[in-house]
Amino acid sequence: MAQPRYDHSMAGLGEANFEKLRTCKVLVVGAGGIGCELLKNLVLVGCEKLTVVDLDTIDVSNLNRQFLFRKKHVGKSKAVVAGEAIKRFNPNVEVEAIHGNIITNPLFKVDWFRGFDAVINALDNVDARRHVNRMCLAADKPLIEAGTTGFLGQVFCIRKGETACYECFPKPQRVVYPICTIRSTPSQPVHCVVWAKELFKLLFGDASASMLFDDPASEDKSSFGEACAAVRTTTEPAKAVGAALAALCDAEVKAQLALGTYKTAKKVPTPLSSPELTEGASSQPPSTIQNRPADWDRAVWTAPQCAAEVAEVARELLSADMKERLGSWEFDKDDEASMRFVAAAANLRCRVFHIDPLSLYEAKGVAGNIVPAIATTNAVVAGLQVLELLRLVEQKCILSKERTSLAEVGRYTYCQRFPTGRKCELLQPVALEGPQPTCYVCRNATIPVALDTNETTLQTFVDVVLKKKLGFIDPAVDKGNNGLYDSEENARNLPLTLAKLPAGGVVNQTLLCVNDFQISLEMNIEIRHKPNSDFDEKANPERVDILTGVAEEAAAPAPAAVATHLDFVQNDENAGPPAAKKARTDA
Amino acid sequence: MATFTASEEETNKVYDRQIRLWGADAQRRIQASRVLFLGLGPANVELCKNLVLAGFSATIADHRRVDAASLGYNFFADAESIGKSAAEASIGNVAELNPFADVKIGSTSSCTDAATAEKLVEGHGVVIVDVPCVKGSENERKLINEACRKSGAKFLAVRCSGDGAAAFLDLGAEHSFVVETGEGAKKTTSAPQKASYCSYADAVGVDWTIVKNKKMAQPPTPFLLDRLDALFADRPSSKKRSRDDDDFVVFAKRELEARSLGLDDAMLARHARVAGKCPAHIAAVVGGVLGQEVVKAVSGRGAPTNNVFAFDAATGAGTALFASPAKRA
Repeated sequence: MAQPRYDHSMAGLGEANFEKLRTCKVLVVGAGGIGCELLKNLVLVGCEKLTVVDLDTIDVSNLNRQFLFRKKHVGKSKAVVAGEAIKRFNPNVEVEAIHGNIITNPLFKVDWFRGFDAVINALDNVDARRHVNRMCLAADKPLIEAGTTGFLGQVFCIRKGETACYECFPKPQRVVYPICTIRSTPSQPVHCVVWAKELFKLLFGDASASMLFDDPASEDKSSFGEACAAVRTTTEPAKAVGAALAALCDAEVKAQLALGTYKTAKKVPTPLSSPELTEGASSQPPSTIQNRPADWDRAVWTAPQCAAEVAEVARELLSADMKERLGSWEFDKDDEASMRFVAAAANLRCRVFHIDPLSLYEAKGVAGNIVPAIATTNAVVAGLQVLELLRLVEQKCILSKERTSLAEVGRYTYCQRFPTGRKCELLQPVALEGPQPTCYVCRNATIPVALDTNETTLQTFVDVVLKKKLGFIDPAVDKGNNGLYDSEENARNLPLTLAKLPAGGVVNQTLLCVNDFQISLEMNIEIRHKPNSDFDEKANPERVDILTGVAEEAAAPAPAAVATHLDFVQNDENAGPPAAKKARTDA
Repeated sequence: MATFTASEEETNKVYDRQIRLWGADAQRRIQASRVLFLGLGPANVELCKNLVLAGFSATIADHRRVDAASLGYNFFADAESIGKSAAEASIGNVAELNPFADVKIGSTSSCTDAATAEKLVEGHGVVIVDVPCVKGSENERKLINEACRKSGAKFLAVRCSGDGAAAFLDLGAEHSFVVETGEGAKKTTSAPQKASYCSYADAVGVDWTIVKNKKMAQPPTPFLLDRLDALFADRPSSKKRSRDDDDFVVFAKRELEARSLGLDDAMLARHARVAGKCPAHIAAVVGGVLGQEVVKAVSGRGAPTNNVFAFDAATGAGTALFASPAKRA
């Protein structure tokens, strides 16, 4: 006999289905905006066996919506704090809270996923969603997906073999900016922000990894290399910063103009005034002014103010207690110094190229890929996810194969800000698509990949095509029954170009089979040779085409009826998968 | 519950992600606004969470005693608070959600005359009614609504069940708002526009059959069920009581037939079982949608829904409807 606290839930489900729900083992991936709402809903409706995984720690900017967290929890693990909080909502619940990365942690193998009855995603990035999609397909477990961005959201169910999987429809790729755009021809504020981040790396981080780094022995190295290197060892930060900024924004610009770099350019740069920069570097930075107004970060700094801010950051990072971190600094939008540096440097870069400079507030949004977020959208979406879970439970058995139509499996529901369509819907359920025959993830279709087989090395193929674009973690590549590569043997093949690989090489129309046992993934790839010169370097700096259709050269657009799947809101706050942040463990 | 004065810089850090969405001006209006939660039903628990997190101040008015069943939706209370008033049991945890918001208990939580209604509403920019459907609740909604129209407060009335929910909005005879189009640098804001809302009494007085959108054979099920519940609660008691008088299904079929509408028996029977039994996830969906309506209303940005929202848990559809004697805009 269930407890009175389950009255409301049981009334709708009936005793038998409620019992199924109560004993259902559910995995929640993510304990952030959607996760907090989801966990609360699950324990209240009667899910008593939960596992929650999250790699992140709590930040003050989470507190406007991740309501299981308080100010005192800042710095602690989201999964752990959320797990504790929901026990107060329902003391019957058993929660396993794991602070870890769902992609890289060796704990989360396919067999581990098999231990659950359902998986519910509460993620904020494409990479993790892709990975969980593949694991759930491999483990054959239902996955309930959701995403939110601002006022909009989407919820849908993925069932292997019955519905489209997460990768059946192409998702927008992360934008990659060509090096020349960043180093020479920026046209948008974001290019200047990226430049500023690379400058930060050059001055305080791993310098040789920066896009702005030049080999000192090279003949056409930039003129600012020495001045920048000098910042790291200076005893007079203001002076060194002034000199570096003058080299970057004045001398180098003049040099490039003289070389004719901008002869045919749309935006011709204008060098900034060196005296303004060097004097500015010694003036008072806006961030240090006492009793500054609440909206001080919305003002757009002048060039001298920017120089002052950069000098102030240098002072901070060169101070005795920070000195040891020189060489390993990485940009972090939540680190005040990094952010002020990037805002100031981006502002100067914008001025050189006649682009409207950004305030610190705006720069932070761009630099940190900040996605605006509120409690209500997450609440709606998490409520709909539980609705989908209950529908799974009510179909006699969660793992039942007895379905007669996709409508029974679930729906794809859009959350709108305004009533939409003739039915004036704020919540719009539409029929789920079936698995797409061209999907190389759930339908094992062959993917055509076009690249230059004479110029591309196996190393690049593995790193850029297999790992970065196709999401493999530890791939093994075979051509017929010839092993061309796997991480334990054949590493010697990596420096070879594809055409020069053994067993006849990898050339136009070669069929490769790529396997990854860690994630139970196998894909067939058909290589097509496309010379590097045929690629548009600006649009496709990596010079690889991954073609979704089998016959066409270009990526086939998704059919009009499901065009909206392309609009799937990613809420992708992170440019790349973040490393698990170390959590505070003090009480 | 006292709050400390925080600098705007401090609050900006917490509210950053939402300010980036609706802007600093909207945020200031939110922080200057107080919501009266009349009845801490399942929807109002969620609305309370959503709106206090956003920065609204709150008055929680509910003197009903917490029982074990309400712990299934009221996550502000716990087993130790069984027997206390819902407001008292919840206020501590509500206040903790946001130290910058002022949260207090309302001294009254019901009214049967205009004067009490006016006193209840006084000092609030938004009033949300979420109480169970019993004899007299429709009348109470009308009284509160009239008081809101008099004082200029925005009015919402909502009720959830195990099948979904229906909510009525009345933002006043002349609600002003702007419409934003485009994104980022290309964002444009329209000139102020006006929406006219009819009173709650007028809204529930319309012929049900017209409360539907194109592509609908009849009004959405949750709307009909909500209206049937209201009529059923206020059904006249006859001296000669027969079993049928208290049978919701019989009652409902009669009312629907009289209007040439229909809902199948199984659905009506199910509703009789689950009316008043709202599970947490349905409350979450409704509280989220309505929470956004409140933000639109108070910030004056974005066209608010005029004037009914109906959520059908069976299909997952959330529909905006127009229930008003006036012509559709």
